[in-house]
Amino acid sequence: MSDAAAGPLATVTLRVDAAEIDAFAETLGMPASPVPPTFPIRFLFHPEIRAALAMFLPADGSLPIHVGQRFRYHRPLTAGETLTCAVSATPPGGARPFALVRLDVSDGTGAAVCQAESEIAIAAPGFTWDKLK
Amino acid sequence: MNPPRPGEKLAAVPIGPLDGAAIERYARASGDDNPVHLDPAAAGAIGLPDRIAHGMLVMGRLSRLALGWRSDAVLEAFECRFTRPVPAGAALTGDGRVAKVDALADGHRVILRLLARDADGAIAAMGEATLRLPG
Repeated sequence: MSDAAAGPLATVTLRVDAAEIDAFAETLGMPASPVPPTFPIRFLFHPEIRAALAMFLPADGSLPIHVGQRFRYHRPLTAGETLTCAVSATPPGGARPFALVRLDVSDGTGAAVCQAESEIAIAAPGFTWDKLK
Repeated sequence: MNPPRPGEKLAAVPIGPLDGAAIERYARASGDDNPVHLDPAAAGAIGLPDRIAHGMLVMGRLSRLALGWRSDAVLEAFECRFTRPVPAGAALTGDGRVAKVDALADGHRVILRLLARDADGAIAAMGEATLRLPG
């Protein structure tokens, strides 16, 4: 991550696709209904959100390593519904060794559906895995 | 159904094997095609002996413990810390216990502590699920 100021990066409207839920659930050995609780992580890989986050990754061969994840749920997701995802990111700094990426997911009425917070280490050559402990 | 008690153990679940095919399927289904999961050379460049499984693949499979615990429980929050890289081919086991029970006016709020361990018993992921139980 760069030292760019934290703040909202992008807001994306997307549809919760039943086929995507099926494929995701199958990899976890779970039914597709109810929607698996970790499914919202898929929103992080929406092309517009990826593009918004890519600018924070140094172009030196560094790779993002997921070191922690939190979800807070206000209600279950429903296949076929349309949601809005607002993504923000905070680079590492001070006492915080990892970047923090946050998704705030809401529905068409503006009601909160869930929040997802991802802690991301930026691993460059020489990265020390002990940092994860 | 009996009220939950701190210390109550959850039935263990297998998490894996997390072989290359499982990792590739998860990468396609999640959209997470980070080379550290798919390309041994890319993983080697940052000090790993092989590509690694997605932490979210482990967390997703660990979620089955929380969802399968009580059919009437509502998941309010779920978090996980990925404490060590899980190399392709590893087989993990998930286990857990009731860590805390708070009485509510209309039921209980329960915290489950969940762990994913490798074949040597080393902890690869530590999770916490917060659930609300009616009644």
